[in-house]
Amino acid sequence: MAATQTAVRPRDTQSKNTMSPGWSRVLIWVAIIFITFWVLYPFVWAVITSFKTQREALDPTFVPFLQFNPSIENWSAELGLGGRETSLAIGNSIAIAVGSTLLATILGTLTGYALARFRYGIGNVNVVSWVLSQRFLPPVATMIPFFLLIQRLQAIDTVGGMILVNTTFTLPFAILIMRDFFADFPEEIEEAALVDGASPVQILLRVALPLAGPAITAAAIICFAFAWNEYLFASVMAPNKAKPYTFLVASTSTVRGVHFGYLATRMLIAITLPVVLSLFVQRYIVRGLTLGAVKG
Amino acid sequence: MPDIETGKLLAGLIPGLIPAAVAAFRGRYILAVVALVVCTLAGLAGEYIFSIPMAINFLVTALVLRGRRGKQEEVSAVYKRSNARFYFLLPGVFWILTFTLFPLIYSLYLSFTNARLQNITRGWSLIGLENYSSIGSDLRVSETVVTSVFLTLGSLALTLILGTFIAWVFNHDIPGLRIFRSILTMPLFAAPIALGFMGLILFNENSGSINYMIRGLGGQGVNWFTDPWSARAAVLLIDSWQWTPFVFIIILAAMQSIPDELYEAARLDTNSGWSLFRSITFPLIAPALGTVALLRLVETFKILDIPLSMLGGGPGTATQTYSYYIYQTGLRNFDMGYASALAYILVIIAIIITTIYFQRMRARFE
Repeated sequence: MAATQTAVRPRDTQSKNTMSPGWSRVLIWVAIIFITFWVLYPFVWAVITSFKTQREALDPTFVPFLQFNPSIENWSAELGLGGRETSLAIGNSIAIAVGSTLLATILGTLTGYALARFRYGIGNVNVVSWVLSQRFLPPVATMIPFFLLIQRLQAIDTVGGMILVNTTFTLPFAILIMRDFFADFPEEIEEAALVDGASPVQILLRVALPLAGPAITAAAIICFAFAWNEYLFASVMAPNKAKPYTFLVASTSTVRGVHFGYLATRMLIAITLPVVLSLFVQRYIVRGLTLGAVKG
Repeated sequence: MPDIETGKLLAGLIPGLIPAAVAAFRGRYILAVVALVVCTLAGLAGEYIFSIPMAINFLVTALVLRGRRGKQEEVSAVYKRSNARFYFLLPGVFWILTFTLFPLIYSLYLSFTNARLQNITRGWSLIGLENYSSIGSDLRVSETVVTSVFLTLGSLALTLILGTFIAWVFNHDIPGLRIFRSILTMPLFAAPIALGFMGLILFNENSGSINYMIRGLGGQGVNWFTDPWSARAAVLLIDSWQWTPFVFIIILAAMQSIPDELYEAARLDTNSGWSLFRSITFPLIAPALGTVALLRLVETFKILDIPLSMLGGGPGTATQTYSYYIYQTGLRNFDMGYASALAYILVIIAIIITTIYFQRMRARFE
């Protein structure tokens, strides 16, 4: 492991009186290039593969035009006129993700605000623990009861049923992101509004919420990404009409045999939206994903 | 609408009366009525199994409702007294409680029954601890536990070491850090089910680029999909690729909060980079490492999507994790009673880790 060798010189390069900053600087940049390559490589390989035909995808070739003829047939088959199943599944994914994001963000903002501003007899920290423990619970452990519940509600294979399920999983993110935001947010402005005789609801709607825009956006994007990526519950509760895109992707290999090019195309479509959205919430990623455990 | 049976009505009313009484006692009359109505409806829909969790929900809610007055002196008095705080708090808390407590209680009950999808209409019967006792003699359990433990410990070690190293690299006043950080966090938001397929393409023994590179470097291609331990390693590598950035961003944040003065002071004693890391950086990022390790621990033993889509649990059953086995037993073979018993063992582990986690985190959320 040559990499760990470089790890033994922390901060040398930062200090002003280091002896030879040049070499360690070079090593650091070599490491950075290597790390970036390592993170991006699978994406790049998937993009290359997605432009290959079924036959070409069986060879490990890299360079388009020289080693293989790039073709957009996978992309047009998936997104073109023939892709009715695809558009339906993407539509379902969007409906499920947007629906549960809306619900989770609204409920989460209210609860997060309450946990940051008021004190409750049962102890705020206990309420936070319940909220967090939802995320700690293995989904497989709750799947069977959920399945039976949704069945009783006659909501199997409906978008509504999936919204209910996904709201449950994403709500803790929304609550904790918003709690964290309001907890760090100075109370003085709200107190000033109180002196002016505003009601709590008015304070929340007119004073706190307009300032919480970035945090709400972050909460919404993280909820959206998790709902969009959900597969397990969908595979059981939304197998046909309400099938989301992740479930469609999972059934690719059985439909068309092993067609790596096509598989890569679908995989890329499945991951693009959440990955791109995540680029807008960099500031909140650490707090969001650690459920407020770490301030980033 | 079928006609209302007295039995079902009572099944809702009796558990509903308890939270209703508590709520009424505390002067929350609206809640009392809501609790009674909802529990009754739950009872009509599914008898005790629906109404009891509901009743517990309302009971907890009624207890939450008692506000501790006069605690927050700095906030103005009007705000403190306002009932609005309950309307803000309760919808979210209620939602979480309903859909966390209900499944937990229900699956505990199921784990003592012989519930299967086939007898869902005729009902099922209690069989005591039979499901739990048959776990011991189930060979698949020990097999899948081995896979799960390997993936969990492997992923934990790999992501922590790599993540810390990458954080250290980027803690060097790198220009454009924000851009690199955005690029590096991209895998975190990709659907695991899709990443399984990414693994399928990358690790494919003939057409995959990993074996191509290994051969290019003079090695022999690895039988990623036919050799059980190589297959587990492939799953491990994809999972670690996705989650190393998570460790990276958290540890980087921790490193950036270490004041430079500490390093300057320490340089008077030593100039060895390793001893600086060991005596200053590591002790100061250790709490963050502990937190991230616990969070990862919880996540990794849920792992299921990647092995499912990458190799369908194969070759044979080599990449089937414990969670995978529960999923298959309960929702593919519909042996729900047994699957619930299997799942409850996982729940107990989750509860232990959660408890440790809250011990550490209590102050943070106060």
